[in-house]
Amino acid sequence: MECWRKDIELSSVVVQCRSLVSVLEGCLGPCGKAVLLEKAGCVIITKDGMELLSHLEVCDPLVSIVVRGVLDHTRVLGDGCKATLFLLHRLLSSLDTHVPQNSGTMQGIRRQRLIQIVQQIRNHVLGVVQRDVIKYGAQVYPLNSFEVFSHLLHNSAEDFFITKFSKLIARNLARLFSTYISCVCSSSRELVKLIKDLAIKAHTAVVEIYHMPLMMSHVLHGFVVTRNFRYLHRGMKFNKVCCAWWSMNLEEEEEEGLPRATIETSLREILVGGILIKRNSVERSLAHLSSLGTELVFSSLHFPDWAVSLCAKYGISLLDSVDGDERDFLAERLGVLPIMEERDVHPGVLRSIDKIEPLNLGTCRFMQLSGLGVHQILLCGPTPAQCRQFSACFLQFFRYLSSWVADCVDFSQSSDIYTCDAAAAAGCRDSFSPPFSPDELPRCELSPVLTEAHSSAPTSPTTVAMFFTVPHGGYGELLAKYLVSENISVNIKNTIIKSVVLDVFNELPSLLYRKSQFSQKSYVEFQTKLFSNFTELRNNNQVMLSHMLKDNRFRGYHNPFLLFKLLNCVLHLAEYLLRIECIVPAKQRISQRTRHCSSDSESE
Amino acid sequence: MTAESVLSIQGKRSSGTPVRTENVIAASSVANIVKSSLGPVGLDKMIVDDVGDVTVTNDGATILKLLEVEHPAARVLVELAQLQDEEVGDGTTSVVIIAAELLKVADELVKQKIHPTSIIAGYKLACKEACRYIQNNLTMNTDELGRDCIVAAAKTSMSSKVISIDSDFFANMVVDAAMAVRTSDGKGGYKYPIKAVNILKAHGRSATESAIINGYALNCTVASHAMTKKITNAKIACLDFSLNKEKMKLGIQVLVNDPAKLEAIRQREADITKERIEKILKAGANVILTTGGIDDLCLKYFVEAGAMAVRRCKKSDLKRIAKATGATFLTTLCNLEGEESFEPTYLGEAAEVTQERVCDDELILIKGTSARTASSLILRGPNDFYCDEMERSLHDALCVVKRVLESSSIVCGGGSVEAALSVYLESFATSLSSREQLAIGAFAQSLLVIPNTLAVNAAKDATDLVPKLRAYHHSSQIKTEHSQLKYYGLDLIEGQVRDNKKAGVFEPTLSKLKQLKFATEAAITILRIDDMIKLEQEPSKESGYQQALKSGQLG
Repeated sequence: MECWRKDIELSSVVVQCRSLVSVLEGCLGPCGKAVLLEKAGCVIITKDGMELLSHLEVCDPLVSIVVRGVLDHTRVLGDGCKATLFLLHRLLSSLDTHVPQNSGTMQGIRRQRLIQIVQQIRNHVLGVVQRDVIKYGAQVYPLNSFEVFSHLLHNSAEDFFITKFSKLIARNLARLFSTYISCVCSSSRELVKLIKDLAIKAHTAVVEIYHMPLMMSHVLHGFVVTRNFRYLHRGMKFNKVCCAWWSMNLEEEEEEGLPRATIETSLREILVGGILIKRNSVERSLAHLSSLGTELVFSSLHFPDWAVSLCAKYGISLLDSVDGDERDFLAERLGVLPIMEERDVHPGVLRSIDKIEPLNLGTCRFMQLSGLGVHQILLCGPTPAQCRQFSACFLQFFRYLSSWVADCVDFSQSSDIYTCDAAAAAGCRDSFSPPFSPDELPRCELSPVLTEAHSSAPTSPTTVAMFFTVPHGGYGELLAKYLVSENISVNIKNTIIKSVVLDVFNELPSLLYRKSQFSQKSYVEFQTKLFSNFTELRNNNQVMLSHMLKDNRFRGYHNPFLLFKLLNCVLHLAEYLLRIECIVPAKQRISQRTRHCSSDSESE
Repeated sequence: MTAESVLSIQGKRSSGTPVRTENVIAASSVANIVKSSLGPVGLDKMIVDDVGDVTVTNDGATILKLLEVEHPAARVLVELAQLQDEEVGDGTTSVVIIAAELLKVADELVKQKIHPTSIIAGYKLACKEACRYIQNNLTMNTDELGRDCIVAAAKTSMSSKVISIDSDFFANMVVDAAMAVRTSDGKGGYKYPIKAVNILKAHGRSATESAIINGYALNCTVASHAMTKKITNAKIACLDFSLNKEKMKLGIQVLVNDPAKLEAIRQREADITKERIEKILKAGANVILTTGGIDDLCLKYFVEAGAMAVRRCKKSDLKRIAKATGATFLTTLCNLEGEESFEPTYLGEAAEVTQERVCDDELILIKGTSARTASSLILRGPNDFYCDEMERSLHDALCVVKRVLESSSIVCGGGSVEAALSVYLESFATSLSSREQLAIGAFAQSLLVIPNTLAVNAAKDATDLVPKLRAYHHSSQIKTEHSQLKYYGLDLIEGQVRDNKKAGVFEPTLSKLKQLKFATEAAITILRIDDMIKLEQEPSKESGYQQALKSGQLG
């Protein structure tokens, strides 16, 4: 009558994570290589961790929890799918090696020990290290200077895209992005709002165009409807077009089993009349529309040929089968009321569009509407699959930016920054020296809002003024490692916890360096040099720990909060996994034993 | 005692000691499954079903519900856990463990030739005495201790769950949520209908980014983009039918011989719904929530009227909204005369209904509901499983908070009550001269299973800790100057005995009382069984076709 159960060994979890890591390891970072994935005859070539992971079919329940957790988290943050998985694997394997398994103690005791370590890291180490990495390592820029902000975004866009595509493509995509923001926004406030909006509806910003080289992509003033005219009336003017939105049903809906009114007749006229009911009502509406001066009809429905010919009869151009998202956008922007039935046709449903023109690119024939006050990125791609990858990447990038900006705002408003001593605050100010030359951009002075921010109360809304970045290439991780190993930000007495934390911080830089053909030895040398440089700078009482070495320098702009967000998720997931003691199959039968009761003979 | 004998009907009968022993083994095997998840350092179970769906949980009732337990005696324990879950909401693991332990010691006594009825009588007496002792001596009034103790009770409930590390954060959240739904019961007291606390889950982000929202949050968006997204002084209609174009029902056939009439029929079909909507709008409704669909044609009427319409809401949500706003949840517009009408009294009221972006999702928030207050919790976690387990844990904690607030009485946790009861019952047993003495002694002994299991799960030395704890309680019961020692319980992190009143480890009194009563009753139910007849279905060896072929019915 024992219940069947399978205890979960930590080492087997590590092995399973290892196999996932080995799949993704190749495509980490700018030097990573793409992976070709074949699934049911369909080939996917990608470097994107999220796409790869979501296509892998994982059977093991524990690993599938890991995969789903990582994917869900990345979907919100927009980046860091592979990094999360690597960090989780490193954390678990480091815990497995550092906490020895005694044959004498119970499995549960070891688990408790591990859970405590994870909790301690999450509660006592993470927050402090994040604050100090930003205090010592982050460059701070005023968020309210639009030039600086957009320059930063351009660079980080390039760095972001380079981890997904080749260098040339990345440069193009980044250029597109910065053109787009410079077209749409003129101030930082607008830009922040734009980034927040884009994170949920990226489709308003990107239009995919197939069978064209990426070089041809550009930013367009206007809104693109990804349909061609179904019927274009000869001599229609393209300026000040008077249009209406058609939503009246054209197809007879045939539903199985539902009875309907039937005409039973043998008279020819009635029969013909019955067939033409729908047509007549459509014709009446169109005639009415035409008399009101309508030149163009939009519809998200498909117009059958007879309806098209009716449009032709009344000289109304037609644009049908419009995509749902585009319909929603237009309905909101134009405030147009759809025509649902015959009595809806009145002058109130008509709207005027400034200009409408056909847009012929590659094999795509689209319509471009002007005067709606929007810009769109026309994203070209040689094949539909590639084009979709580009636009998916844009969506991820918007998410990434949105969470970055939100974190910066949160951090500036939180009291954390004020608990840093005055020197740190000064450090923030000192650190503000743009790494690009002054000729490139007008020199940005500290705005009054920013200087005010240091003195005023933390709750005032005007403190939203700072943007924090760290360079790429594992600088944040290495700095965090340094801060922990030298006991600067937090003094971890427990050697096991300390070595686990150091292992985890070491994971990403070491992988990145292995990618760029550094040997293990040179990596260690580099690290020692960097750390001694840090120490030197600290001895000279410089608060800001520079990211420059003589011959080697970290470049780029990266979200400093991302690492800690990922670690937070990793620690949550790890704790969750460690708490699982055993696998019990559901619906197993705990039934009567089949043993025969033979013991009664003794009692008798 | 006879052995099994074959009855004339197909089946087996067994009676006497073997049956009892077998039942006891079945019960303890069920208890063994959940044993290791008890206490602040218990671990979780991952339950995988045959299609690969995964549930990871620490909750005794959930684990047992997902296992298909077939043995009749074991089923009693599973139902016991469900009962405790419904009645109290917390303590499901403990109740199963206590019941199994009671059975185990009873089985020992029966083997020593003590009749089960004596044991049953002793158990009943012991349970009654234990409950009396808890109520008289061990309870504390929450009014004296204030809000802190309620938070502490919620924290105790969460301590064994996945959110234990953030229990400070969640405990305050839970208490706020429970306080927000306080309603008067009309007799001067208050009720806390925790069902009014709506729990929404959204994955991504970390658990500490969960939020509490005043008002009812609905995980839907308005049906059309053209609708207004904010309405103040909302009049809410809750409907349980679709506002689609009416179609003729099955079995009706209409024969016409004029196409114009056919068109008229269609027009009429559309107008029926339009008239309904007009009736609703005329009554003053500006927010319409429905469980069914609203088609595009009908949406237009709402857009024109400037009203907000939300389709495909969950029925359970709408029922709660109806309760909170004072609306009537309508399944049809027909009145008693068979005509369709919509009275303004059917409408509920709220100060504001808005569609807002909370976390990364668009939600509809109903704020300032008129009839009752409502609150919503939005939980964040790395994945769905985590969110599910968080929801279960928060539900338990909400139940605990509700019980504490309603009864305003708590006891100390951490094995303190069980240790005190076992000391007390042992001395009570020696004061009796009847044969129940042994059974009460056994009852006292079996209560120690809770502190023992707690200590074992925490990898502490149970043989060292539990006697120490008992010694404290003994001295508190015989020396009046030591009476404060009665709040002592186990500290499972440090492996010591400490004052759990100071440490803030509390459980609702009701939970402990129900645990004892339910466990005793379940144990008695199983103990009374001494005969088992199991009928076996006659296996039909051949199919109907073959039988028919044999008997010659088929040519």
